Parts: sequence; C-alpha cells; structure tokens
Amino acid sequence: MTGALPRRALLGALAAGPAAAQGQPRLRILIAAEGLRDLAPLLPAPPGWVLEVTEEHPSFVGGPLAESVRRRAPLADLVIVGLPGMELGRRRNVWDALPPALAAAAPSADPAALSPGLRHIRDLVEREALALTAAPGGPGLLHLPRDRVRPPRTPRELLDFARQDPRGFLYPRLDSSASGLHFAVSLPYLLNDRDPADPQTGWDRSWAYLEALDPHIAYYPVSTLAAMEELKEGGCALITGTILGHITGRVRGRLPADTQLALFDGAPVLPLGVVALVPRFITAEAAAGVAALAPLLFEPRLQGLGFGRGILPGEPPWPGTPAVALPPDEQAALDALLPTTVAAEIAARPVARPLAHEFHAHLLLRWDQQIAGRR
Amino acid sequence: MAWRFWGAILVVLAGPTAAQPAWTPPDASEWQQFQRRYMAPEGRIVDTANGGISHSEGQGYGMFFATHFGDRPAFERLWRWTRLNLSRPTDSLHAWRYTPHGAFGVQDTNNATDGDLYIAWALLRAAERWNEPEWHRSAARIAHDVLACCVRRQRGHTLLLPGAHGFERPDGIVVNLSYYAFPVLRALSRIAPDPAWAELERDGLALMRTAAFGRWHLPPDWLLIPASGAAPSPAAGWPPRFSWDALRVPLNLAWQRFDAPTTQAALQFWDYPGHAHRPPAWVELRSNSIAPYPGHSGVQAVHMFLRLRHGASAPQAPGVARAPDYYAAAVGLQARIAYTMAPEPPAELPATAAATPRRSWIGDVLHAAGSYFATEEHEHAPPAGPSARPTMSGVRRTGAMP
Repeated sequence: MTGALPRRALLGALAAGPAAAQGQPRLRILIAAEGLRDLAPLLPAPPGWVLEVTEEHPSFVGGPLAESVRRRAPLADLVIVGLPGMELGRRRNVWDALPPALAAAAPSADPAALSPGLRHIRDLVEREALALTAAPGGPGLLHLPRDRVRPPRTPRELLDFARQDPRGFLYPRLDSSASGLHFAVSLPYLLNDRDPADPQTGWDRSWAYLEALDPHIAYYPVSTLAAMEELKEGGCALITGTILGHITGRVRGRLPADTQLALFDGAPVLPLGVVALVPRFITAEAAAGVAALAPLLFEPRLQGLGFGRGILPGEPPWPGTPAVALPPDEQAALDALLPTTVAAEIAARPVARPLAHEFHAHLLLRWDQQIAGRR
Repeated sequence: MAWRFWGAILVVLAGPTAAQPAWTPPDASEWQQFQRRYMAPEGRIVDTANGGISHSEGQGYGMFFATHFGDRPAFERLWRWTRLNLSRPTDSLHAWRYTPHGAFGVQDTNNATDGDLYIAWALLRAAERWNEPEWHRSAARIAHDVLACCVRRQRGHTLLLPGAHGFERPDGIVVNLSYYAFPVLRALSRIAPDPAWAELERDGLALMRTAAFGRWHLPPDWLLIPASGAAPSPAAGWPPRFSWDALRVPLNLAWQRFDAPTTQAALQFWDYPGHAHRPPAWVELRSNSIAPYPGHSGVQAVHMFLRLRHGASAPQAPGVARAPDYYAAAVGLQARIAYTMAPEPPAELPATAAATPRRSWIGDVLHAAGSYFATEEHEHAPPAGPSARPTMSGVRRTGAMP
C-alpha cells in the first residue's frame, strides 16, 4: 500500500534479522492484495515463530485457497487481503469466524476516535475480519499536462468530455480495479441517487449514466495498470484513479512524473481497506501463532511504513499509538507528489462507506451484463 | 518407425505468392492491445460479451498468443491461472467455464475439447520455444486425455466430442466442426502418437463435405451424427446457423491450407455482393435468412484470410482494437497469425499399436461416478447424461449490432 516509500522493502529485509532457527513452528501468511507487495518484509514474527509469507493475486483466495479449505487443509493460517479478496473468500466459504484473540488485537479505541475510513471498514467486516487499516481511494481522474485537459469536475462534464473525444476517457473494469470500482460507487453520491448503498434498487440515475457513457468508452481496460499504460502512451487523455494509486503509480514509474490528480466537486472519498482473516480448519497450533502475531500487526512501524497510517491524508495513526515519521527525503518526495493543500482537501472530504458484500456482488455482475457486455 | 498419413489431404494450397498483396503479420502491439482488453492481471482471459466469464477456450487462445508473441511471463500467468482454477481432479483436462460473479467459480466440471486442444498446443509450442520439459509433459497428458475422453467411434467413423459429457444422445452424437483445429490435431500427434489423430482429420474433413446445408452449402454450428446412419443434420437445441462457432471451420481449414469445399462455400457466402451487410454475421441454414447486421471483426478477418488463401486481394484485417469483444478479437488475431504460419506436417502414427484406449460407455459411467465421489461435498460433481452441458449453447457470441 505504501509504494510511495521505495526503500521500504530493503529496510524491512534488514529489520527481519537473522534466519530463524531450525525446528521453530511456522506460521503461513498469505498476502493476497496487489497493493501490498512491500508489506512482507515488514511483518514481525512472534517470538518463537517463523513466518512463511506468500504473495498472491486476490483471485487466489477464490481459487486454490478455497479449494484447500474445502479439502480441510488450508494453504495459509492467516490471510491479509483487501475487500475484494475478502469477498471472494466469503463467497467460497473460506473464512472462519474471527477468533477472539484476533478480534481483541486492535488497539482498544472508541469507534468515534477512529478515522471515518477505518470506522467504515470496521463496521463492514465486523465479526468476520480484523480491520488493519484504511487508505484513501477514489474517485479521482488522472491526466497529463501535455494533453492540456481541463479535467471534468462533475459527471455531466465528464460525459461531455467523453462525447467530444471517443478515445479521450477510459475507466477500468470494476472487478479488477479499485479505480474503476470507486468511480462507479461514487456516482450515486454525485448524481443524488436515491440510495447510494443499494445498486440493486437505488441507483437509477447512476445506471442510466453508465449506459449513456458506454458508447463513448473505447474499451474497458482489465486493470488500473492497463489504463495507466494507455494514459502514458497517449491512448487516452483521462482515466479514473485513486489517491493511493496516483502516488504509487508515480513512484513506481507506472505513471509519468507529472501526472495530475483531479477530484470531482463534492465527491466523497471511498476507503481502501486491508483486513486479516483466518481460513477454516487451521490447526490449533497455527491458531496460537495467529493469536501471537495479531497484536504485532498494530505496531506503529508496520502500521506506518507498511500501511501508511499517519502518512496518508485523512488516516491518522490508531488512537493511542504514535506516528512513524518518514525519512526527510521520502517525506519531501511524498509532499511533491501530494502537495499539502491537496492532502488537506482530501482529508476534509466526507468518506463514503464501501458497498456491503451482497450489493458489491450485484454491482459487479450487473455492470458486466448491462454495461460492458452489451457492446 | 512412424508412418505419415496423407490420404485425407484434398489440396494443399501454396503459401502466399508474390502476386498477392501480403498481410503484415500482427506485431507485439496487437498482443499488448489484447492483453489490456481481455487478460486480467492474474492471467484470466475475460469474455467481455458474456458477463465477464472465462472459458478454457479463452485460456487456450491466450496461451497460444503469448507463445506466438514470445511473452513468457504472460504465458506463465495464463497457464498458472488455468491450472489453479480450471483443473479437474480426475484427469488432465479443464473445466470449460469459470464464473467470476454470482455463482462463483467452476459450476460445471465438464470440459470443452477445443479449449483443451488449444491449451495443449500452446503448452507444446511453449515447451519447444522455451525448452521447458514440464510443459511438454503437461501437453502430452492433456492430449492423451482428450483421446481417452473425447474421441468416439460410431459406425466406423472417428468423432471428436465437444466435451467429455453431454454430447452422446440416444439419437446420435453431437459434434462441433469448429473444434476440429487441424494444425492442433497434427501437432499433438507428435507428443501422443495415436492413429486417432489422423482418423479425426480424415473423418472430420469428410464430415465437413457432408455438412453442407442451405443455399450456401455451409456447416451448422452444431451437427448431429445420427446413430442410425442417416445423413448428419443441424443438431436440435441450437439455432441451425452458420455463425459464431462454425466461423472457425473455414479458419481451421485454411490455417492448415486445406482447400476443402467448405472454404469455397464460406468465401462465396461472404463475398456475395447481394448481401445488405457484407460479410453477414450469420445465415440460417434452413430458411436461408441472413443476419440483418454485419459480422464482427473476427468474421471480417476470416473472410479476408480466405480471400488471400484463394489468391484474391484483401485489405489488412481489422486489428484487436477494432474488435467489439474478446471472441472477435481472438478469432481475428488467429486469422492473421494463421496467414503467416507454416502448416503442420501430417499427423504421426505410432509404429506399434500402443494407442490410447478409448473409454467405453461403461467406462464413462465409472469415470463420472469416480469424479463424483472424489469430489468432497459434491460441489463439483460432473453431471451425467446428455443434457450435462446445456449451457454451451447459452454462450452468446455477439456481433456488431445494426
């Protein structure tokens, strides 16, 4: 999640210490979220345990992990995922009820003291998963100065923009891109739909808008990265983006260094959540390891450098825990990417709650059938 | 010592001549366009016209393209996703359909033979290109299982089942002639030598000559081979059309440079100047009614490919970016690759009769039962009976709408 911090992996590897002793019990951690690729070296092992960390695409949860759980031999003892990965596992009956030790691991805090994004994620996954963090997502629009785009500030302006230039605007598929998903989920707020939480019955204006936009979309890229490549190569002038994706895209060179992020007028920010879950049928020994690891997931260093808590706008450290300062050069780099005024504007925006799982599933299916599938 | 089968070849066309306007081969940018539109980051090919589902067919096509364009990382992602998500517990074949939304995952473990053939072919080509023996072994296992599960003999003819289950009916066997990918059948004979490969080619070509219906003498998407020995007819349960599936029949023939009557019939149909939209998307073979809209870019590409093969002129085929969906893009890209590929040498036969045993009907029942009991909680139990795979016809192939 914090690809804005390029030395992270190296620091983590150095901090991991010498190789673990032979014969120690092993705890298998699966990280199944693309944006968390720098997290593994930062995960602290509980005393007496060796961590075995595997990184996979979120679809791994719905495929091999689900199959292993069905065979009562799960491939991992603890899974760290974003909300889409959690949803895949839920649909395949992968997750066990949240163990009390895991539920109690988060720093005790009055919910009112949590950031709105974190509060929404906690509410959404309560009793199923341990919310580790939330980061600012979308909706945003990315463009390049060379294209001299006056970024649309409203859905109406965006539709006009797309109509005037059929190759001008792209948004990626919702099921494999947070930027595409957050664009769609924000529409009912921007269009004053009846119930933004219910795409089944409360999104009349949003569905009509997506249908009206469809003829002016050349195609739906399969990922945010594919959309970024189009922007970079001049295949389009405007793509959807998230706040975090804008930062990491520029740091990792997926986006040109001068890429600009624009926000819709009056749009809320949707949080990107990261949660930890336990698959069914893990051994009692592994459960003990998970219980030992859980409090360590909230150590300020991991929360700061691994998840960006206290660094990203609108997401302060967990109440009662200190912030971790970035090295000055990295902080300067982050300030260049996200000027203080922009960060303040993001932090001041209302934070919308992600869709509940049944509505999330409905949205993906309906979008594929009604919007992408009709061309 | 293997001997080579020559009998089935009708006319082997020469390659493109100097007098012919040449197509430029598709370059890596076309593959990149395909990936951005249809290949999800984890290696899943998305059928954008069918609710975002995936098929073994799409995975096989994607793996073939990745190999053709020398993109090993993409090939590995595709194969890994295919293996992890579509593998069947009892053999080396693959479940034909994966649903990402709603009823999630694999709901029907029946295979689609064209998908397995392409996966095996792509593995074989990748093994040869990148010298990976394990991919070679995987290809051989799939080829053997295709022979074991999906090849039947009826009245002296060797037939290719479209899937292991659901196509053997009381009234006969249903085949899909577009699954006879001749270059693939020939290539796989090198790693799973068996007389059946050459028999499939010979009898498939004979079937195509027989399956000529309607004014245009074209094959239907789905064809019934009656058990009674009567003449083949368009299979009940599907529209009796030459459309999105059968489009690949002339493609496969021309790919292997067979100048069969079907290629000439398809060319005449698509070339006919009286059509309101040329080339039409489909023709109804009983009524001869024509689609009121043109075929998508995949149809156009195959049409132009046939024109070139027959010495006529043709403009450059539409690129991936002009395709309305995954299927049109994939077929179009295949046609453009086929134009530049050398034909496969004839199928190899084993010197001794060590052919892969075909399953009998009782073998199939036992196989199905074994799959069922091997699948805990019966979540993936393969259905039995002729209606086992009705959804194949439900896969909508869209065309450019009027």
